[in-house]
Amino acid sequence: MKKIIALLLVAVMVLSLAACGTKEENTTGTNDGTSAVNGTGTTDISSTGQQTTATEGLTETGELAAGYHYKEEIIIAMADEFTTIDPMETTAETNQIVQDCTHDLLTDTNLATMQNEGELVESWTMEDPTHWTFTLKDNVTFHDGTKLDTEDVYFTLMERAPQHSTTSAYAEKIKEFTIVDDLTFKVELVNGDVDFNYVFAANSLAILSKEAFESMPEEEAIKIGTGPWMYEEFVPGDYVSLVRFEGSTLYPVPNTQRLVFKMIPEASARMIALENGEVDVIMSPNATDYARLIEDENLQLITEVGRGQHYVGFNLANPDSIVTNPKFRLAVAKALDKEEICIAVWDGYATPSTNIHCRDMGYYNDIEGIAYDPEGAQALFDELGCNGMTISLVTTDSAVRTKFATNVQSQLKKYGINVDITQYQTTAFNELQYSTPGETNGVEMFILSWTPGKNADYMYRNTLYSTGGRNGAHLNDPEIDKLIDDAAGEMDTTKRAELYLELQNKLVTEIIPWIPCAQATLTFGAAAGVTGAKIHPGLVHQFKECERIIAD
Amino acid sequence: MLRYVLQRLLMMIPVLVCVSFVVFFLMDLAPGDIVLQIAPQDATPEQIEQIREELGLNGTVFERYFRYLKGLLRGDMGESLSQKRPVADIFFERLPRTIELAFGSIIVAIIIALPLGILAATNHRSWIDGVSMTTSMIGVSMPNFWFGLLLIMAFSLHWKLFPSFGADAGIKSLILPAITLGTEQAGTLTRITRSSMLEVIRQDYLRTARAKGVPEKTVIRKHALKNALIPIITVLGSTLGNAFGGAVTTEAIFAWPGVGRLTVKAVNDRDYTLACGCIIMFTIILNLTLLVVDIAYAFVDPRIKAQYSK
Repeated sequence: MKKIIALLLVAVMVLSLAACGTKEENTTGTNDGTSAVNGTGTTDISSTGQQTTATEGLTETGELAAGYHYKEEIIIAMADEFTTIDPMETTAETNQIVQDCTHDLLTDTNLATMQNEGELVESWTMEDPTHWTFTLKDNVTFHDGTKLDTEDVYFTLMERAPQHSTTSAYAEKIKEFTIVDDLTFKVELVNGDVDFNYVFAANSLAILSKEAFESMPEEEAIKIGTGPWMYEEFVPGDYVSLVRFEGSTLYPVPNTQRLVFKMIPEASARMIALENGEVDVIMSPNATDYARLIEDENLQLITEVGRGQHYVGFNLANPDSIVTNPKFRLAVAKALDKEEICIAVWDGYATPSTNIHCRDMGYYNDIEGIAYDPEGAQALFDELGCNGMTISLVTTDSAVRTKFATNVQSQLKKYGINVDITQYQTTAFNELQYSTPGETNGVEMFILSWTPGKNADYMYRNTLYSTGGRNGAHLNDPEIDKLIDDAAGEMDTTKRAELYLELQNKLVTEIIPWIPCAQATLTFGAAAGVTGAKIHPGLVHQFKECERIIAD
Repeated sequence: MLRYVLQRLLMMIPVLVCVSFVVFFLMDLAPGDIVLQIAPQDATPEQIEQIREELGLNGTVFERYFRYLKGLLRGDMGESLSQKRPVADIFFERLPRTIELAFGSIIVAIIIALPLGILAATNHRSWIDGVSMTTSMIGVSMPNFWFGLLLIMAFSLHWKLFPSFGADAGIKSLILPAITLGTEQAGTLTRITRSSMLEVIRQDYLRTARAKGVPEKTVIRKHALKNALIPIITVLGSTLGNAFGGAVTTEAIFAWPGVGRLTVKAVNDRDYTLACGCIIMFTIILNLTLLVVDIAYAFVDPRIKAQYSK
């Protein structure tokens, strides 16, 4: 009997050893197509741009070298599900990542400069904050062969957008839309907005073909865009595949023939699929796999500092809590070692923050903020009589937030403050934060992140303006509201920059509704030879020019 | 028999109404608001209310439930709040994959459990019995998540025999998920088969059969196993029913596009029409499976067939 049990255990061990021994085998380069492209894992991570990867197979002029070819199909593994083809039906980044390949926007963020630039629009002029004129790029072709003109823009913005809950708010900003000619249109706004061009960078406002909607069923017409990729097949819950648009004029015709977005929810399963050569790119690998991605010559780690500002917030509307005392907030700000948070939560793949404003956005100022000062913090806590007190902290149940909350708990423990952590599922947390009044929701401190997708105004108006829909701190300060309004309405960029500097200093060092802690690094894992997989700090990553060079 | 089947089908109606009531109210009680998920981040409170109205989420929970029930009785499960498509379409485009996985895992479970259970019973208290029970214990105890990853690492990454994810490669895609899920089910089934066989083996009619000189193989196969099948079929039926909705972990590890993952996502997103629709469909499938099991009894045991006839 004992012998049999021992034999069984040995069998299980053999299986385990076989499984655990895979890494050595994999690095020998036996995977299809990967062994020939070596040494591509050398990386140069800069704080301002995408990681650059030296790729074999290209000549100095960027042409394909002899003995190499482009892989016909690139498979990208995503963590979340793609659910809809219609850009106006969604605000989920996973959907928008795919839609970004097939449809284009009037304006978009240039990931090299992080500036809002024209995508379908050639140029624009602002006569005053309520009157704008836009000129479209000439000779842009839809997948159905028709040329883009102002009728398509009118159809998208004024006819379809008002019908959808995710886009109607944008359409409502426009009082009058005037078609001047095939390529020029004017808009008059209900309220002046000096950053109106950013509204057109909303992914749900991708431009659709009017003619397609007139000539084919809606479910087919919605697929027609101007992007370099066209929809081929969508299997819900499994994958969505795109084929290159041979008539692409806005972007070069891709060298890759087929782009497939696969849905693999488990990070470890995505990593195995990449190591196994079944996929070419994986999104959001586990931090514990970064070393493997860097060390394996067949793989690469692509990184970019994310725009998401991870912070500790305070509910300023809670009448029973000490967090309404600015001295307490200052003490917590001095008490938290952000370097430690970056290491504990993101294994060092994050940049400590000194400013609430996100690093890659316009009007960011490298202000000093509140430095880590344990003695100063202790003195303030002692003055307030905080020793032995318990304070509640709420956050969501994600792994990152769990680590973040636990680290804050352990750091404040050193000052004699007990932190009682409660975690909620995301939708429940959102309801607690945004739908329940701050006076009654019982929240004292919370951990959250904010990834503003558009301009500087968007950074503050939703989260720190008194009537903002995502004002979890329940900040209600007329002076801050005025500063936000003044900055948004100021046409002189120098004066505007001064207003934003004043706003940032006031929020970070005086009012302290949040303690900005870190901007995490966003990552992709990719096979060697993959280029053009661009991480967007606002999470709508770009694969329009994704390709992979492999040896013949 | 037909009357019995009709009776059982009619009994499903109150069951479904009760299930829809419980699920709907539980979803309402759970904290979380899908509107905050759907609305653009810069939506004003007025725009959020407008979206709520458009989605039909205004009114009291009773009003919303009766609206939902009215649609349900007409066979309309409504539209998913997050995907803006009919719930029935979303569910049925994923169901075939779940059926594949459920039947695949049951086949694996039967292949492992029946021989092991029979061997354990016929060699009661021997080393074979010990090995069988230890194996079944391992099957039940091993976490799906861990076992699935182990299989992927061994058979996909190391030996490259099967794909590590997805459902595109036909039967090759199904093997690892089916083994992962089937091994767990086999653990329970082995123990049920063993105990059921042990009970039958001790019966007088088997002793008589042996005394009459019937070969041992025939005694086991024709007399013992057939009479031991009823509890085995019962467990198989409920295991199959549970596999439809309970394969979430396996589906997640192998990126299997089934309804389990869909349901969990719907619940997490507070997409109550989709979540309720999926759970109601699971209830129907489980009820139909149990009905088939009950009918199968009649083919296995003539005494039960006679009862149905009455």
